[in-house]
Amino acid sequence: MMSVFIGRFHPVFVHLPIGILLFAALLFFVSKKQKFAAVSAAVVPALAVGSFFSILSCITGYLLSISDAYNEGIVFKHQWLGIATAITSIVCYIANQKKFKYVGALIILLTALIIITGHNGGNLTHGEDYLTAPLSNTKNDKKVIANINEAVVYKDVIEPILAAKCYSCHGDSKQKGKLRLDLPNYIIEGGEEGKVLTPYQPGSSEIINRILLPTSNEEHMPPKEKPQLTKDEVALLHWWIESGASFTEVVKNTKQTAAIKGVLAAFSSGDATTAEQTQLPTKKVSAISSDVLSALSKEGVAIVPVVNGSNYVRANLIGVETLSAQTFQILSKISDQLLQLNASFTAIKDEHLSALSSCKQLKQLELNGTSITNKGLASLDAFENLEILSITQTKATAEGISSLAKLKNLKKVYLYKTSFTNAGIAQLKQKMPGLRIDTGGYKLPILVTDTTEAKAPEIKTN
Amino acid sequence: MTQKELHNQRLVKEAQKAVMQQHTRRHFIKESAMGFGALALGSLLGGCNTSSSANLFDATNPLAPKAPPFLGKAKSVIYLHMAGAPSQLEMFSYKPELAKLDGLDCPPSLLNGKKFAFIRGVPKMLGPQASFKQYGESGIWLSENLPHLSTVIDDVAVLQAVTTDQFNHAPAQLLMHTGTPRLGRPSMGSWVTYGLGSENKNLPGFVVLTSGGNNPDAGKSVWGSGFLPSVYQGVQCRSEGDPVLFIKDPAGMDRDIRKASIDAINKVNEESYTEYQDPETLSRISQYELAYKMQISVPGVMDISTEPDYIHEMYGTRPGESCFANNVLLARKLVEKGVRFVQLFDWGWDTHGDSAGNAVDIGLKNKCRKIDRPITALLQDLKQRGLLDETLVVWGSEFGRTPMQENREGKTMPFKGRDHHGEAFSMWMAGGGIKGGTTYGETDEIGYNIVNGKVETFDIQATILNQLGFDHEKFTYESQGRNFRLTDLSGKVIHDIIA
Repeated sequence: MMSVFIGRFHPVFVHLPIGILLFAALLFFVSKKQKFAAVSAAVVPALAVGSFFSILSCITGYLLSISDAYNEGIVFKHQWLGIATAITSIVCYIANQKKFKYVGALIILLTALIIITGHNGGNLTHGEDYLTAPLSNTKNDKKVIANINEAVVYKDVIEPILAAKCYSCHGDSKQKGKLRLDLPNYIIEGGEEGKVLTPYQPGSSEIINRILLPTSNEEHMPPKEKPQLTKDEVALLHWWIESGASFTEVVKNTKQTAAIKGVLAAFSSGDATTAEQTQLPTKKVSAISSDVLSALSKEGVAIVPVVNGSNYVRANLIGVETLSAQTFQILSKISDQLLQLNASFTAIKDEHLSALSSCKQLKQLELNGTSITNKGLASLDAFENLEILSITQTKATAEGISSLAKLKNLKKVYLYKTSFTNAGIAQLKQKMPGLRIDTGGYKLPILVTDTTEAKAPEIKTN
Repeated sequence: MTQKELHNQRLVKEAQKAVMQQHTRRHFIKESAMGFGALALGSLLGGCNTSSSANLFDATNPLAPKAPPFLGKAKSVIYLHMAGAPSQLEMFSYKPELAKLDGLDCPPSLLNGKKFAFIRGVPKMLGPQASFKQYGESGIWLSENLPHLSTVIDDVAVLQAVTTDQFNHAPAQLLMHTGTPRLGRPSMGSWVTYGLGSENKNLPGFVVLTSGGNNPDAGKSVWGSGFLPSVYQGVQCRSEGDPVLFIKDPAGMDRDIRKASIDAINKVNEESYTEYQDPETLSRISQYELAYKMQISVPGVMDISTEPDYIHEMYGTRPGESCFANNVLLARKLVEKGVRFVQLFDWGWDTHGDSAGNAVDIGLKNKCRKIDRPITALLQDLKQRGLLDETLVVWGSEFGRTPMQENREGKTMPFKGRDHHGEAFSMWMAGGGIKGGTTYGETDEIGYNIVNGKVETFDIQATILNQLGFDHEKFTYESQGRNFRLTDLSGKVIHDIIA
């Protein structure tokens, strides 16, 4: 395996001829200027050293290409362009030494060859779209499938998983283990260790077994440092193979367990998004100015970004010693950024809430144990994005609580120790079926075990 | 140039010269060598570890609230540790097959190559000493020892196959809380407080409450700050008497004199800092200030007697005493006030069978009775206050117990007991973005070995950090020339129990 070892030095060696030869070209053209004529003496040795390393790169490159599986088409191009570069550099060296007439043209050709060969090499290691990917607008959002039952299992469900987690090594540009997973015929064919799947038998399918090995195992796929399949993705692959690994079958014709049905349902609702996407508003906001921040910190308000690097913040008033209208006046300056506000157990009053009416982004508001009344609740209308509201241990009554129905985005409300009525709650539930209402007041029954002790059985004496 | 300008120019030159004289050849060589060395090393190591996090320690305000690297579900953690290792076989792990083997000799296949803390020779198998039933919509099996918890089991995710490689209490506790069985690493609570700070500037970010009559075997290291600045260590509070020892000013010392003395001490410390630049000095200054604020804030928060009667009834608390229930209620109060990490230790779960109090059919039942009600009340109370979604509650211990009856020194024990067993035991998590009503992991028919869903101590730590918004592999602190993490070189987030 010495050849493989030597071959893997290719990525190190290739950069030497690139740098040295390009530098030689630079010296050559610069020396044309009267002022830098002296550097022309350096062109020949630079070309000599560059040629030497370009030959070395060709040798190591060849050894690498026979040991690891890469896209044959690109390897072919890269190999011959590399050899052409090496030959051209030697020709340049000789031409320069012999002071030929068209050395300039040769050096321009050499430069072009270096750039093209280098680009090809980069595509081999990083993937063909590596350079251009940041420019293209393709988003990685999970596709929403309107009617999952009519979807083709392979095309709509399985292929995206393989594309995301497998293609980078088993696709068009690289074929580790001589395996490609990007087209049905390659999947059926398998790799150098044989078939990757046995239809109807996920348990004896190499692809499933490899994925299920512990990550510490060398055979585990995808390799430890690469993005891993989620549990749902493994379940989907398993289900696909179990139902025959067909490339044309539609979802409705397959047998689905309850678990698979649940995973599939997420496709049609598109709620397979991560928590981060649902919690942070997509709108970009500017950072809070340092003046406002220091004013707030002087008031004792704890301001912390909801997540590192975000301009959206959470404010906690627990450290404020004297809560006044001024505190809220400063708070209203961060209305664009304020996502969560915790004012529980503070002296916050109804009128303070109306001072915050510009906080349109507010998603979570905690007012537990405050003297907030129905009047304050009425001013919550302004918080059109409010999702979580805690008003436990406040003076809120049924009337104020029913006004919460206006908050269209409200998902959870906590009403423990407020003067709610059961009828009012039922009404609210009817108006907002998706709202989770917790009225608390949980009681634990007193059990015998709460008040007694287990005793050792009496020891019988004869 | 006027006389004055000339004079100023000369002053500036003199100052620059003084600075340069300070900067000796030795400094220069040291800095440049370090600089180049670090540059080269950094780029070399860059390939191995691109994931280290910047130092978050701000000596002037070490507990300032900080944002997590990604959106976590939980804002705080209440960690309930039953020191001594409760028997999973009488609480969470339903093993009907074990009952059939009760009293039979343990087959050699279970003993070959194993080492036990106390079992010698061939022990007898010991059937479950409690009856089990399925509860809730999830149908999770629970023993009769947890009648209250069974009513909220749909909020709980039970880990049935937790494992540890330590079989003595102290190292196993250290492994669970600091990521190593040896002394010297920061505890989980310290890491979390270091990473997130505290939203309440008047209270410590990490509070420790102990009950059961003893501190855990691993001692205070189990809530120590290790190589993190000492301001992040757990502050142990008491539920009986003064919540923090010496929190009251002594007789004859009023608040103003106290303030004046702390100001004077801090002034001296500040001078010492300008001279020696040791960040621990700043840490000490802020600790003095925190202590002064705590003198006012702590007695209020730690006083459970002001809670209404229905809350006392719910938790089964006994104000004035030192007991687990009181600590659980305190934990809720502290989390409500913005404390990040509340660590409870309850001692007395080491049921070897050497006494009635340590018997799995007597003492263990009584220990269960002391925790079942308060823990259930905690989950319910957090829920009704809207805090359960943001508070991760973890219940567990350092290891579990054997399906064999302990036969210390080969003799029959006076009571039914079980030996230490690290291979497989149960823990649970609830709230803080955990998927309730789930069980994860499976052990064999007698609860001896893991069949699937193995969870290592590092996985527990990784999951807790994940719920708070940290990637355990990237949350590091540099000490003694290398980056350390809580999970050392292991740890996988248990995605199956995350909602």
